[in-house]
Amino acid sequence: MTKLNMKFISLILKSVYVLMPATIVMAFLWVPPAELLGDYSRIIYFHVPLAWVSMLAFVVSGVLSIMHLLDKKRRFLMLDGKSYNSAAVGLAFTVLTVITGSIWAKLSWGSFWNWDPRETSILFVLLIYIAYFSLQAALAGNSSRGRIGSVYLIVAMTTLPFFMFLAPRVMQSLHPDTIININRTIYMDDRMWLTLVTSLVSFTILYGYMLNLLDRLMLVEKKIEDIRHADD
Amino acid sequence: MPMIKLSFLTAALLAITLSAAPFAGQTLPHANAGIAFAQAQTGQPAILKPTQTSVSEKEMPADAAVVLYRVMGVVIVVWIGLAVYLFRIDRKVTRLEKEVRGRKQGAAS
Repeated sequence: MTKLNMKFISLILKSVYVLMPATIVMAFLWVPPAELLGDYSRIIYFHVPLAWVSMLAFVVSGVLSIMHLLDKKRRFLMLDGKSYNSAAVGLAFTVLTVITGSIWAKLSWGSFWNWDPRETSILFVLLIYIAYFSLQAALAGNSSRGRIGSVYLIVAMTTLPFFMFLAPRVMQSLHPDTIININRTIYMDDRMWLTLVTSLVSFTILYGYMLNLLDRLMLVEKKIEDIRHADD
Repeated sequence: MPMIKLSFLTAALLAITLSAAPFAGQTLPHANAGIAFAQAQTGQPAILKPTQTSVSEKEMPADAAVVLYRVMGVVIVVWIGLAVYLFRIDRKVTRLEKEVRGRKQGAAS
């Protein structure tokens, strides 16, 4: 990657420092409240992007894992570590998705947890990825840790369409399907739409920025270790 | 581990912020959203149709506006905390990368 490209990517990632405050102000002050939900509807500008980013992070970790298993000549550095980082960020975002969803459930349905199919399915996803970190911790020092973890992440990724898209649609759910509903139409005001898109972009960049930091940190740690070994 | 610290700090900060929402929302005027969802399920499409009022308009009750500003203030403060934390990590990693590059070049020459 050229120096210019790297600077451009770095600039995009750092734009989160401007985009996120803009999103917060837009979500609270600029966008009108929804007709039936009132000001509670503002949580959509945080809950939906968090859910999107958590799924994106898990898919990225799965794709990196596939690349790690296929990359026999090790042309790419530490792909297993990068997929681990992506899963870690995804897990944090999933926890936040559950928390924001629970707050919304409390406001809309009267209870923080209702065992709704959508809530239950995201809980399963959460447990699957928590199990991944337990597995990685248990395999510390094992030479096959990266490969076993990659296989696990690929299997975990294949369960995502079932838990996130199929299960809540097969079973009756109270969870609103309002963004793209059965009529395939988006019933949103222009300002709502723009705020949601801005929020989605901001959270996606935040994910990219955090992942980039973790990956760089991991590579620096590795290089420092190499230097120490060389000095010894 | 910085990675774990980073993930959990993010989770904790945003969780604390957003957990303020239900308590702040207690004074906000609201409709019965459960009924709203049921109506939406039966085909009413306008669940996210905006009201005619906005935060800046005078029809909004003063206490509701105060609550809204308060919640936004908390979210902004949490974001500033997270942003400072990320910025500092970014700066430290950049410094480390430069040092490692310098040492490698020194060893090569």
